[in-house]
Amino acid sequence: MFKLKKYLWVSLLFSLLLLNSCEKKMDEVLTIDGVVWLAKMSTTVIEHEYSDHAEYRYTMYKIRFDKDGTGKTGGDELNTDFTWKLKKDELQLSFDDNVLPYKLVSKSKEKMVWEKSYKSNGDFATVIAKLELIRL
Amino acid sequence: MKKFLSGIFLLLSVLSFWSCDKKGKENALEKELTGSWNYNLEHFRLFDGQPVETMEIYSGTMIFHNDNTLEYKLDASNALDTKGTWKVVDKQVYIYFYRNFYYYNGSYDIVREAGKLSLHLIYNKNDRDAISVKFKLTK
Repeated sequence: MFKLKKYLWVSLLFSLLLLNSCEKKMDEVLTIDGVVWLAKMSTTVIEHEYSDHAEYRYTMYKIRFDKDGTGKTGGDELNTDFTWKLKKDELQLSFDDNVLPYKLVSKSKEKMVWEKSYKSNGDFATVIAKLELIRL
Repeated sequence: MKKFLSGIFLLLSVLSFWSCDKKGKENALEKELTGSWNYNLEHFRLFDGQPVETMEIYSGTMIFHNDNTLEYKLDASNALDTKGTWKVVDKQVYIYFYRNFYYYNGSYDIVREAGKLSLHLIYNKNDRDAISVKFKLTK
């Protein structure tokens, strides 16, 4: 009986350790700074009056978030400056004087999805800007 | 009883490991794509899912390097050759061309038909219109 209990405890501990290592990997995703991401931005326009729905072309670039709240973005060279803030599930990107606040939609080990939406053309349309960050 | 419990815990351990290791499958896709490919590109406008206008058809070479950089060459001219970045995530390959081909930037579905690989992107989706880009890859 003692051997059985010991065996069970060891097995349980092993399973918990594996689950814990998985959780740690997931937590790494929250660290947005220090690595270069591939960013894909797309916009969806929903015309309320006509129930029309259009998804538009993507913009892509590479982006790096530095610990001091600054960052660099660009193509083969990261040469455009911006600043950023991360508050819980909101990411604020500032290019010149434009502040773009994104809400976190989903995250995984390799990918984060952020979105912001705003009204356009009065209240006739809603624009949803989606920012996908792919860890390089 | 002991065997039954050991089976349960073994299963739990394997499931824990498996759930953390989806990355392994994506690594396999990345490994498969890594290298030099000849491509045939088909760029169409679609209406109700059917091609109605051919925008571009051409061929060239695409090299997926293992450091996630990319070289893109056209058979017809080297004036437009460019470099870029690529990465496989969620069974799609994200491709970013640094110059010239910005309308091909995006996340492509990796499609396997009759043993051949192709990369397929649909963009500018409207209720009935869309644009389709397909790279058919051969070694």
